[in-house]
Formats: sequence, C-alpha cells, structure tokens
Amino acid sequence: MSRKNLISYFILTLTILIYSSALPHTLKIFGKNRLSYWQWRENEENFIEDALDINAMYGNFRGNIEWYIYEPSNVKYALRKEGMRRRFVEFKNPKWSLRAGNFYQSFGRGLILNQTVEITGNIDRDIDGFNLSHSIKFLTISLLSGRPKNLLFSNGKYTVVNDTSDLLQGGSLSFDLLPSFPFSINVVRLSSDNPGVESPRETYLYAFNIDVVKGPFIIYAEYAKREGWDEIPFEESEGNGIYGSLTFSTGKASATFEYLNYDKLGYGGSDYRYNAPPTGNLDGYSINRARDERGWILDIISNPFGSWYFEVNKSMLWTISSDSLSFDEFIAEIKGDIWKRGPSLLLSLKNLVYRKPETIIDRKSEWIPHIGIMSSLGSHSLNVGLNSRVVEIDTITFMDNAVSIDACIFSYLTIAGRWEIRNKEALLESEGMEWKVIELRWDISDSHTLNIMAGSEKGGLICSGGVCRIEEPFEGIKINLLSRF
Amino acid sequence: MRNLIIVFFLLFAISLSAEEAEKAPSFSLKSMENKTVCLDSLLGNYIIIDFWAIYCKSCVEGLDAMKDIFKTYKERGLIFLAINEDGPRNVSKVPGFVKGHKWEYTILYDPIQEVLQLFGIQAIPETLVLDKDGNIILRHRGYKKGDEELIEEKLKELLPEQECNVEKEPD
Repeated sequence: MSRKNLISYFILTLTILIYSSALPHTLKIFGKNRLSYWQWRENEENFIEDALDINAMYGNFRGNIEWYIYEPSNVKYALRKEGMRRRFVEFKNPKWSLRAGNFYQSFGRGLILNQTVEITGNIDRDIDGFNLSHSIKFLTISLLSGRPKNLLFSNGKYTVVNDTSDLLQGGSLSFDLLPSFPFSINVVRLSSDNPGVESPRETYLYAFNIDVVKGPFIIYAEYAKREGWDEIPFEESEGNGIYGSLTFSTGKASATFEYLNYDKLGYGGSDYRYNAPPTGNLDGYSINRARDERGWILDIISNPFGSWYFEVNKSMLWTISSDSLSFDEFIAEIKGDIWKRGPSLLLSLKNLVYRKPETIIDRKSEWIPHIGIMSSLGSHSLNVGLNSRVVEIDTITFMDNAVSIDACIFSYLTIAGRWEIRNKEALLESEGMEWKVIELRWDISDSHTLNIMAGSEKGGLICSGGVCRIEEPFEGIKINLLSRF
Repeated sequence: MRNLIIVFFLLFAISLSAEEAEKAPSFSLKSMENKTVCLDSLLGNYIIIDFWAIYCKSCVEGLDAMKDIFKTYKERGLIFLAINEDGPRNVSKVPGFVKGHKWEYTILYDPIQEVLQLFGIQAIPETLVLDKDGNIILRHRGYKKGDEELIEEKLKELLPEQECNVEKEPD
C-alpha cells in the first residue's frame, strides 16, 4: 500500500469514526469488511485480501465505496492490487430512484440482460454508469446506461473476463394494472467500438414478459429477440429465445415445469455474456450459454405429513442445431424428522449424464447417493453425512467416497471435518486420491465471524449461471474474518 | 502486513463505536404475489426477516423448522419476511418450492441482492428479529438443527401467550 493511499484511507476511516460517534441519527454510517488469507501448502504461495465496504446514508441519499486490497505473494496475480473497486451515490424514495456509479441490473429472467453478482460462482458483473427508475401509479419506468465489467474470482486469483469499453443502454416499462397480471417490455442496446470506422457496432435486444397468478396456477412467459452485431461469428445476425414456467399447487404437492429455447440469443464475447437466462437445471449447467440450447425441467415437491418432504426433479438440455451435446439430470430427495423433534434424516440420489462434455469425452455419467443425519443435543448439534460419487467416463469407472461431520458447540462455534477417498486414479478428473479438511467457524460477536479451514479440497467442475469452470485442487489454509459495523 | 494491521485496528474501532440498537434500513420489494411490500409500513409489529435461497440447504432447513413456530406466533401479530436471494434465473422455481414446503411466510424477491447488501449480510442464511420500532434485536447467522428454539425463546419473551378473559354470561 502506498503512503498516499494509506494516509487517505486513514483519514477516511477517522472521519467515519468521528461522524458515527459524534453526530446524532441524521447520518447513518454502516458497512462490512471481509479479510481473507489463503496459504497454499505445496508452493508456499499466499495472498491477503481485504474488502472494506462503507455506506453513508442521509435521508433519501446514500453513498457507497468499496476499498480493496489484494496482495498475492505471486506478483503475476496482482490484478487490481488496491484502490476503490466500487462506488455509487444514490437517491431513493418510493417513486424515484437514481443511482450513479456501480449497480446491478436484470430484466425479466435475464434473457436480454443479467448483470448481477453470482455468489455461488464468484462472478461479479456490475455496470458502471447510471440507473434511473420512476413509478407512476401502475407503471414503472427504468433506464440505464453504463459500461459493464465481469470480474471472476477463481483458484485464488482475480480475472477480468470482460474488461470492455462497450456501452450498454437499456430501458424497461413494467405495467402493474392488475397485481395478478403484470407485464413488461424491455429493450437493450450494446454499442461496441468498430476500429477504423466512426459508427460503433450495435446489438439490439427486445423482450416481452408476462406473469399470471390465477388460482393454483402461476405462469411466467418471456419472449426475446436479438438483432444486429454478433461477436461470436463476427457478423450481423438475428436470434431469439423463449422461456416459460408453469407452477401448479394443491394442498399436498406442487409441480413446476419450465421450458427454454434459445437460438443465437446469447450476446457478448466467447468468455462472457451480457445476458444469462435460466439454464433449465438445478446445477446451473449450460451447454452453449443461450447460443444454441433447448431444454425443460420438471420439479415436484410434496410435504404429505409432518416434517417429511419429497422432491423429484428431472431436467434435459440439448442443442437445437445437432444432437451431439446434451445434459440430463435426475434428483430425488426425501427428508424428515425420524421422530418428533428427534434427529432428521436426509436421503438423496442424483444422476447426471453429459454427452460430449469435452472434445475427448463422448459420455460421462455420475451417480451421487447421499445419507445425512442431523441431531440436536440440547444447545449443541451434530450432523453426519455419507456421500458417494460413482463416475463413468467412456470406458473408465471410478468412485469417490466421503464422510463429513459438523459439530456445533453452543450456537457460536462449529467444527466441521470431511474425509474423502478415491478408489483409483482418474486422469480426466481432478488430481489426487485423498482429501481431508477441517474447518472452524466462530461467531465472535454479532459483528464478527471467523472461519479457519485447513486441509485439502478436491476442486473440479463448478457451475453457476451457465458459467462452468474447473477449480484447481487446494491444499493449505484459508482464513476469513467477516465483520459488520 | 503492517498496513493491514492498521486497517483492522481502525475497523474494530468503528465496530466498537457502533450504536447498541441497530435500526433496520427501510426497503421495498415485490412479493411472490406481485405486491409491493415496504418495511416501513409494517412497523408497529414484531418482524422476522430471513435471507434465503433455494440453493442454500441450511436456509431451507431453517425455514422448514420455523414453519410451525410461525403458525403459533402469526396469530399474535408476528410478520415473517423470507427474502429470496436466488438470481433472476431461478425465480420461477420459487413459488413451487414455497408451496411444496407449505410455507406461510411473506416471500419477497431480491434478485439483484440490493437488500442483502443494505443489511450488510455476507453469508446466508441469516435471521433478524425486529422490534416494533424496526430495531434489530436479534441477529442469527447460519442454521443448525435446534437453532429455531433460540428464535422461539425470543418470540416467547416478545409475544407472550395472552390469557383469554371470557366474560361469563349471566345465568
């Protein structure tokens, strides 16, 4: 950290300290901090990261900055080493909302725009610009303009997947005349530089969505169209997409059916998309990220008696243009208390079938049975889980078996352990034959939580929102201190 | 490293100077029934706010465990806002999931995680109990079997069972 930055950071923190203790309730200062330290065992690399998020709220106004330090021992990873990563000022009342700076936005179910943060995938797709929203009786108008980023945290380092000067502009009209029958019309325009030519390349997207709640039925339907510049074939083209869901519920059970069909709808580069529509499965797995996908999902959930729940989920996803790529998923789960207020039992079975997941693999299937028992022992609790994963990749078969124990001592201290072994080497999967990890979580106070993890993690395929990547195995120590003020 | 120590010393100083009673920030979100729900309009009641998502197994277990407790305290004026943090892609799965689990909570959608950020939540599930003035009087992070009893203890204290005073009709 440079001397200049340290001094400005010190002055900023001191100002906040004085304000929060001296001023009455007119100005509210609040925020959070995340301190992380990772140490790899094998190569002794490490990093320290700190993200301090501070908000100041005064009446209808709010200001926010996120100060950020990332100090890896390997200087090659020192992307955005320190400084202000996010900031915004906002005015908000029941009718108007105006934000200048960083913001997230999505229209409908994300068929034409989904610039949000994915907690599960560590993907941050914020936009830097302005966002205006105004409500007049049954009509809400939203306008936005900005330049998007796509920041990914994976394997202990940050990557800016989309560091672009593209200008994203959009608008949404939502009509809420009847609460059980709202609909929206949305438009997005992306302008990207066209080297050597004055006028930029432009991509337009339009969408219409409708939501109906009628008796036991909940229906959602969205149609989207894309035209103009297409970055992937690098030419002008047209695309469209349909997504629909139908939920039907009775006193004993509910069923949801979703259907999707995306033909050249995904827009952006090969590594990122500005839109991220539903993927049609519970694993967030996508085979062509809204470029060439068709699929459906059926989910049935029932609570027939007491604390017992049954869930069955089946989904299929394949390409429209050929039948070479596909993904099928089946999940069945039963859980409930063995006796009233006694231990809970969880039994689940998952089956995944991939066709041509990689160029060198024709077929991959996984069977994942799981048994879990959760018991409350007065002010303590104990969870025990047994997990298997039988994997078949073309002619190779192997098995991972794991046992996990979570012991919660009072309500503030949790000690968890997991031990997993593989029966034989599998070259096409993550490396290693055995993984052992122990984790401690301590809620120090209402404001601070400390997590310490030591051991090895298997890594593997992580999917979130249609973005899948291979996480490298990790062996070492991770420490996280989460604070709130 | 020295710089980070300074940063954290200051951070702890800020957290120590924080007020005792933390006021919940006001927000408005759309409910599963397409109605706009404003926190300010619910003040005057005891309110539970729970942040959850379908992908979060502990969140679902916690809400299943609170189901019967809420049925008891709903009659005594308790409001339960279960704020869903699934992104836009998974919102369609929420109504079927909620109805299949027979939850009677008010389900609110927070698709761009605005309210999650506003409350400074770093991980879900997190459950907050608000008094009638909107002050956060209990924060509970995570869920383990039996944690619902901690919330129930607090509710017993806040919303005790009223004794029925039925006037006897004259003979």
